[in-house]
Amino acid sequence: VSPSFELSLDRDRFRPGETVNGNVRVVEGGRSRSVEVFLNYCERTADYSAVTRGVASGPLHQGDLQPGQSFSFALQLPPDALPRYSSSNAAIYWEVDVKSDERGIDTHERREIEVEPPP
Amino acid sequence: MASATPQTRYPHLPPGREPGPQSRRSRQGSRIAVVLVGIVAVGFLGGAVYSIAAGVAALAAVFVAMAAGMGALAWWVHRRANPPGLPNLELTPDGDEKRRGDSVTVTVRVASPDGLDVERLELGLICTERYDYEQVTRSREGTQRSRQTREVPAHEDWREVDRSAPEQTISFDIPGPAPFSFEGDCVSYAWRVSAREPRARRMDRRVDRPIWVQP
Repeated sequence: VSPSFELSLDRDRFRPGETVNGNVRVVEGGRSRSVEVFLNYCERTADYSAVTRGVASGPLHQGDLQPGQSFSFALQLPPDALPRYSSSNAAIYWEVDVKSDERGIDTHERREIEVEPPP
Repeated sequence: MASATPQTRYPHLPPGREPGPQSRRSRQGSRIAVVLVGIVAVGFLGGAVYSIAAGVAALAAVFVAMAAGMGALAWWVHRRANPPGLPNLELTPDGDEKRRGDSVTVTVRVASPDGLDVERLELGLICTERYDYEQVTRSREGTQRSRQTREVPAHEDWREVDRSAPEQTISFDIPGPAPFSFEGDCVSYAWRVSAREPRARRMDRRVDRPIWVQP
């Protein structure tokens, strides 16, 4: 059984260099090797996606997950973090990605955040 | 032997900027396409020579026509990546690092006393979006999928300039909501100032100077 998560952040809008504080709560337990949170700058078109750069929390938990477990994290945006841009063909943006490393397909819980352009 | 700099291999980037994975892949793909089409053209020419030696002139003519078609295709692929230039025209932006909301002042100078041999001349500030898409080709052999890159203008501001003036200066505004320069894996944004001679039914002749636009 795959776990499911609830991701909460202290806010949704940040400046480059600021820290994203958040919490991951296990809603449904399941088999997992580890849980890690990433702060990724992503690219997306209709057919392809990629992560340009990212920051990782390191493992927040190792082993199977039980409902109600909760893990806090703090990830700092790079000082030169680029803002969001999107067109009708593509988008580039920051997101928080909770990843449960599992046998087979990993479970993800993702949330886009807004990073302001430099003043 | 001097090695090519990133700017000669990637003319859409100003000095000091490195290409992203998409730019590297596109350049490689374009070169491979030219070589492959060239090899096929040589193969057709070989077929023509063999046909002449075998005394089948009609078949030789077919091979020559197919070789010419392949040669034209190779030239078109090469030209698309390397558009014809505008000799004797110098294009100088007031810096190659800008921010959204800034203006770019561009000086265009005719470097030849004989003037410029063009019918019309335009100066522009352009941002090109390149994004990857999956091309699906279906045939009796099955379905083939390939990764392709499409180029579309994300911002264009062209102005007609006096082609007889030896030197002139024009300012362009970089809009605040426009894209910023970005070199990515499946999407990129490249800014340039450009002078072009618009030509009907032919590829425009042009001179480009890349600039890097910060957010």
